[in-house]
Amino acid sequence: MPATEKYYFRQSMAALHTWGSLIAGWMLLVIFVTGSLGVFDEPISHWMQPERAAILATMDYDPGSAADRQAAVSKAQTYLQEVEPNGHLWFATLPDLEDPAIKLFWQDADENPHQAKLHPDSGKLLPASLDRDTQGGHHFVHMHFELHSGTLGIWIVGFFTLLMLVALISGVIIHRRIFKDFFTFRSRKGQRSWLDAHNASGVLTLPFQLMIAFTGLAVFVSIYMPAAIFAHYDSPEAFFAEVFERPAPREMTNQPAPVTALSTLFAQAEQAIDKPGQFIRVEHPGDSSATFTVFGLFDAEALKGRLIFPSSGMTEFDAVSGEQRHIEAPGAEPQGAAFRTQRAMRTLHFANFGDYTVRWLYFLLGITGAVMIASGSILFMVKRRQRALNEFGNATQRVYRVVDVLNVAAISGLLIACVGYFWINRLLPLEIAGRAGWEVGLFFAVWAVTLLHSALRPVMQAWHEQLIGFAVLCLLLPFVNAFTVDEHLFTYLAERDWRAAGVELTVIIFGLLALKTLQKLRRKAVANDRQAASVKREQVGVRG
Amino acid sequence: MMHYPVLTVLLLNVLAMTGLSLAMPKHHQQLLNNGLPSQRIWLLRMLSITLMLMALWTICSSWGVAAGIVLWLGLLSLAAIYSLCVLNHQTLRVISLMVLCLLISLLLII
Repeated sequence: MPATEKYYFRQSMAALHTWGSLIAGWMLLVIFVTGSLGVFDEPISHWMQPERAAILATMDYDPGSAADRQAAVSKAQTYLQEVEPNGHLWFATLPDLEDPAIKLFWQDADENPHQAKLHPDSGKLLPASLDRDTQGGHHFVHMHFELHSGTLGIWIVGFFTLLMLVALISGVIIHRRIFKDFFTFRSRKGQRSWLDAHNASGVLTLPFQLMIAFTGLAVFVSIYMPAAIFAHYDSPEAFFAEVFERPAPREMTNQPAPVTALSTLFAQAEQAIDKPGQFIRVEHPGDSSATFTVFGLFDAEALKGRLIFPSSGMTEFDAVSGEQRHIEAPGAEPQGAAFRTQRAMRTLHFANFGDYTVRWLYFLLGITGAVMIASGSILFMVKRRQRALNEFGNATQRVYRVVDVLNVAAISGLLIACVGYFWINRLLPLEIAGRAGWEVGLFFAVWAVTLLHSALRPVMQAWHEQLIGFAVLCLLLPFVNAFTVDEHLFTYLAERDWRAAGVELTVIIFGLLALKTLQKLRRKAVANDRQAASVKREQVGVRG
Repeated sequence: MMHYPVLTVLLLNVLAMTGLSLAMPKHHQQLLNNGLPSQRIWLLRMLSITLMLMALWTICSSWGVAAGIVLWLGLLSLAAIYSLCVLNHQTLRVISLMVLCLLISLLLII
């Protein structure tokens, strides 16, 4: 490439990187922070459901007993038969030693979702005092991939993920000294330090960032690129039935027919796949087309290091006649190169091919990705605060102000909302109807307040106050926990409850990191004041 | 006898990444305060690459090739971040030495 062309290429890539990433940065921060927290979905849910321990301690139900499992299936059927005999779908998860409730999910005839939890012994609805209605860690996972707004959210996240890939590649092109500056970080040098932090966090974790963005898109390939499915199949369901090699869903006949006793079929299914069942599903109960499916126990331990998960086993019956329609033996692997590739990428993205080692690795690298994005967004303003570039003529200062406000709300505001969610989980009364929805609603409310705060305060004060807020919320969380549910780090350690202890310790560490950042900010502010004062003295001296 | 392959691989990668940083005159000067003859550059590079490959082999033999490579790259990134922090942060060197001592003593008790 001739020198001038090369120059213009680099310049155009720099503009793409700067403006593309500025626009994408705020949303990508949400995706990265909540995605990193979502890695610990299960431990966070565990911390957020302290009442489960009370049921576990007193229940007679034994997840290892086939008779108990069949009884649980009967209880689920009895309840669903009563509340939604002609629904679109019934789904139930059987109790285990982590979550002792019989978890029910169903859709009414108009496909509106409903859920409930039953006591494993009595089969009665769990009272609010035994069941803290919460989305737990799933809230972060849902924020991460769909922003709590369904298919539209998946599209928005996909669009910004694409911008992430653009930013990564244009970033590599405009970085002149990738290898020379590989280990370089110059602290206390203002703009230089922010650039170093941005470069180091990006370059050193580049393989992970590329992988996570690409596999994130691959997870939803059938949503993002549906043309091939529509060209070759009557419906997406027909496509999935073929790739999963399972019978396609049956059309409704609108002829009423009762669902047979499911516990007997469940026992047959367990024999057919030769392992315990964990999930059951009935499609169009009450219709003569109804089908009953039993899915085998998902054994995460056995999957270490495997990127393509074998089937956990499933059996499908006609739910009216009880005739067996299909068996998928446990251990069967999906077929077809493209489908296998997609499955492997999905596993890579979900970090569930290993134990907590993999999850911690993903968490740390994900947080580093968030640091890369945050430092980039901050760098944009640090550079322009020193010397405005007047990109927008008269409106420049107003645009800069908007960027500043959004930066504060997207970085420290989001962090406050995330730790605030843990507070809300403990402080919101248990009896409130639709409590889980309230928790999520309040998460957004806290976040909106931080945006308002950032819009009303001068930018440095806003950073300062929000960081103080975040540190206080993190460091006081253990006390809130101790006062509300009488649990704390020491009880967790004494009970060898590593997951809850891990959640609490991590929150404390984040609080300490926020304090450290505040200390740095204060030192910087003092240095700036001194410099300003000495400049003033000099000016006075010159005049005098 | 390898109970913690991920830890082993992380430590090997830290050694490799620190070795690579020391093979650069700027950082060699920063840490050791002396010049860097060109033979030593190559020695350090070869040594670091060998350590990295050892780490790759270790993780692949325990986690399989596909997951192994992903983990290896991730651990290499963490190791590089650690080396960068240690190079530029005096107190962190002492702190990490203390953490390492604590870790080894705990592992020996267990």
